[in-house]
Amino acid sequence: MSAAVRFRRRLFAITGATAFLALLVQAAIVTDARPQELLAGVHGMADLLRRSFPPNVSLWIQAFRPTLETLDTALLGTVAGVVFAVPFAVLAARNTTPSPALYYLARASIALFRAVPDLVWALLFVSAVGLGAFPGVLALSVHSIGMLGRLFAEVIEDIDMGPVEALSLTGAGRIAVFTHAVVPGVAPSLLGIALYRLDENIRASIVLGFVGAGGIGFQLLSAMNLFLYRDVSFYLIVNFALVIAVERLSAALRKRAL
Amino acid sequence: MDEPLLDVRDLSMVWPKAEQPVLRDISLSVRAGEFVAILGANGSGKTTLLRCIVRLLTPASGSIVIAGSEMVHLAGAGLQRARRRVALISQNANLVKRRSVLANVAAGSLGRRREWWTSAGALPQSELELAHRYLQTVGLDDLGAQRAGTLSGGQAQRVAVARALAQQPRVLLADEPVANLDPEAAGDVLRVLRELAHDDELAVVCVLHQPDLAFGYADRIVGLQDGRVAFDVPSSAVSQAMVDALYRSESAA
Repeated sequence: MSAAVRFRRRLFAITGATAFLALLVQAAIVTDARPQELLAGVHGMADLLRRSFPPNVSLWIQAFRPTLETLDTALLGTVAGVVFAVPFAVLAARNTTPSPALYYLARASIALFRAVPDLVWALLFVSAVGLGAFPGVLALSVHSIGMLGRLFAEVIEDIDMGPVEALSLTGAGRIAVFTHAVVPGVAPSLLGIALYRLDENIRASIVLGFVGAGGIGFQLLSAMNLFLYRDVSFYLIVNFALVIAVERLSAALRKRAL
Repeated sequence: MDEPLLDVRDLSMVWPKAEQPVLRDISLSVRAGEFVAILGANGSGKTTLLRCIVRLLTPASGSIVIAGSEMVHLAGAGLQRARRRVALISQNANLVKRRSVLANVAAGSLGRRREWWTSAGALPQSELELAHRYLQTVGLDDLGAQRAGTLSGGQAQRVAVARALAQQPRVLLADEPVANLDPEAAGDVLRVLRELAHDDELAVVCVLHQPDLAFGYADRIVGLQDGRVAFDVPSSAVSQAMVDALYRSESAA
């Protein structure tokens, strides 16, 4: 390697590192980062922890229904999301779409569903159908169509078109060709992706409670607003257990699906 | 009986944006019970001809009559109906790898069996039983329960033949079905195709790459050269010189 090349590379590395550092400084200024206050605030935090202890375990009966609500919101939202994401994905995959117009329409809808955060969908649906878990289900399913639609479409675009051609040539109808040649190949991947989505949606459905979409998130918010820190810590434990349990379950099922 | 099952007349085909036609005025008729082999160098139009016949491609002019009905102007549902009479076995077996061998064979019946529940992904019990018989025909009936993805190349190609049978076609087209197979497996596949012509009265057209196999199995040999029929004669009348002439243009070009 010539000295000139080495010099140019070093110059490039130094410039890059300087630019990245500048970017970080910019971010710290914009976010008003003051780590020293975190140190000064240690007392306040310790106080808060002391007041959160011991967790109010006696709430367990009252926590049952909201926990179930959170779980069911995620379950229904995910299943509805999968059911509607499949047709969107078929239209949004280049190799299965019936027409270019539908392709672009499906791609655009999927992008819109995905780009609007589930929290914003929840706010919209709360104002449409009122407080409770149902707007949460709607929000999760719409956002899930956006997330799953794109991934499903990618899986469909990756399939081997040989069997599709072979079955079309038997004179089978379009739908039969899809169910017999495409579905068996993509089903395990779709199931795996859907289970991963369930796992994401359980976390999302907890947060949705904060904007009035029911469940354990709503209990957590109420307890915080009333400064009932022992209740807060109990709900956080339930939250933690729920997330881990669903994560484990979805990982175990994914392993069997593939 | 003397009416040909496959009757191609003056078929021409030009690729979009290409200047030279890939098929020029091809005429070919095949009767029930005949096993016809097509030979030709790479680019002579063998595969294009078969893909035109099943209307994966649209010819520029000419006519294709299968079992008495014209294929050229069909589209949509009419084309789907017409395709049931002609099966194409391609160079790759194109099986659904995650499904069982038996289900792959029975899926050949989907053109005939158009109940709503076959569209939902199910297969009729009676077709699964028939599929078992077709697997016997190709000598693989003990592999029915296995996943198609686990088969060897020769086995997969024979399953593709069985799937074509499940379609119950009058005309069977095969595009280099033995190109990827060892000699023994190739012989198995060609023997089955010949029996289908001779015993079951199908019209069988098979594109082959090795002239020896064509001599050994076919009743008639059609030589294609630069998109034209160079010769169309009984196997016994084909000389080595005629075959050599077919492949000479390839090295010259």
